[in-house]
Amino acid sequence: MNSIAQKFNSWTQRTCDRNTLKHFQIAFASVWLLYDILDLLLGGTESVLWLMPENSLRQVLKTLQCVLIISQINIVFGIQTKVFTLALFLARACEGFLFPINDFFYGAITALILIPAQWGEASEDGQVPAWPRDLLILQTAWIYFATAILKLGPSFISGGDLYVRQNYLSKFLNWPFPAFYLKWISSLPANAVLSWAAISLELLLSVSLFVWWKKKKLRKNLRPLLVALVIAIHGFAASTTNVFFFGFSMIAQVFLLTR
Amino acid sequence: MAHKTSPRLVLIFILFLFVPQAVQFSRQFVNGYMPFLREPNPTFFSWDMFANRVERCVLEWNPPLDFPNHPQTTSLLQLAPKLEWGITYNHVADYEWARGWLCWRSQKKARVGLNCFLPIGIEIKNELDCSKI
Repeated sequence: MNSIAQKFNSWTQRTCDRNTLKHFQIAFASVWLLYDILDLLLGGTESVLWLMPENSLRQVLKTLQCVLIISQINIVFGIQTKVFTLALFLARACEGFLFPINDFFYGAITALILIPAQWGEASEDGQVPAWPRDLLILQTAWIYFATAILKLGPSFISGGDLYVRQNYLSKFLNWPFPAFYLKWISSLPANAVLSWAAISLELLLSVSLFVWWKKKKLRKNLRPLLVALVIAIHGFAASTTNVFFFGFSMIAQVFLLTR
Repeated sequence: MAHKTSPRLVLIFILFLFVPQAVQFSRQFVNGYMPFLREPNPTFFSWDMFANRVERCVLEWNPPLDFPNHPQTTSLLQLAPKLEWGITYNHVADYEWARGWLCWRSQKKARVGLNCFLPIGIEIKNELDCSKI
């Protein structure tokens, strides 16, 4: 028991380069700043309320979006980051509570972990506590692990889910799939192959991130694999499920935090 | 030396961060999720993206209807940006409910078409004349 406590204490005292967290924080805020500006201007999330034209939630949403935009502009420019990271977390959590979308849950959780990354000052040689960085890595590993396990339901592994999503994009949004691919995704077995590939890559990324955290000696060798996996997963996800910003953010997270 | 954080504070923070997520993930199993047998249900912070069963449809109607910032629309696709966003539900029943609402909104004058992809690998299409319901 004592040994576990000692290991935990020693982990909390480890340090990393200040820029690792700072660069990720700026990248994270930039990605979601662009998302929120487009969301506000184009009425993306607001369109969920199309059946309720007079709903007061519209005003609440717009207010939250303004808070998010202001917070992220300040974080990008390094102004009062302690205050604005907290504001970002609170506003994103409220948005996620009102509009339960995984992007918002992810945004809230990541902002929450970035709050303690602002505590205290860096040492003279630019070192800061590494545990918030480690938590971001472990959180990322957990997200890929949990989502891979939950994708083992019958409609995903049968290829049904990707069949629906990809054919919907192709037919209704005129998604520019090549002809051979279009023919391929018209059958469930072909989509099942893609589904199993997605689950396998997510599990592999999750385990690799955990190993990266646990085995310091392997970090340099693991990084190319981590970056390749996260780009492959989110490149595929963007082209087949119309989800872009979450992918950009996860790629930035893996790319910048594992340096 | 870099600023040091109290290990106790770090532990509290980790519990605050991970316990709710572990609980929500476990709830998926408690609520009936079984790998290979039954899909999970949408649950806050369980990271169930793309894991729930989905059916995707498009509603198209005629004559056109006016919506805030979207005059003269004839399709659900015109009411939201196509990239990243979009109005979608997970079940055909929800689209059918929305079709009923469109009939009410059009004062029963519209014809509303429903075109769906189902996860059993089929596409279905039908059209409803609101004046006949």
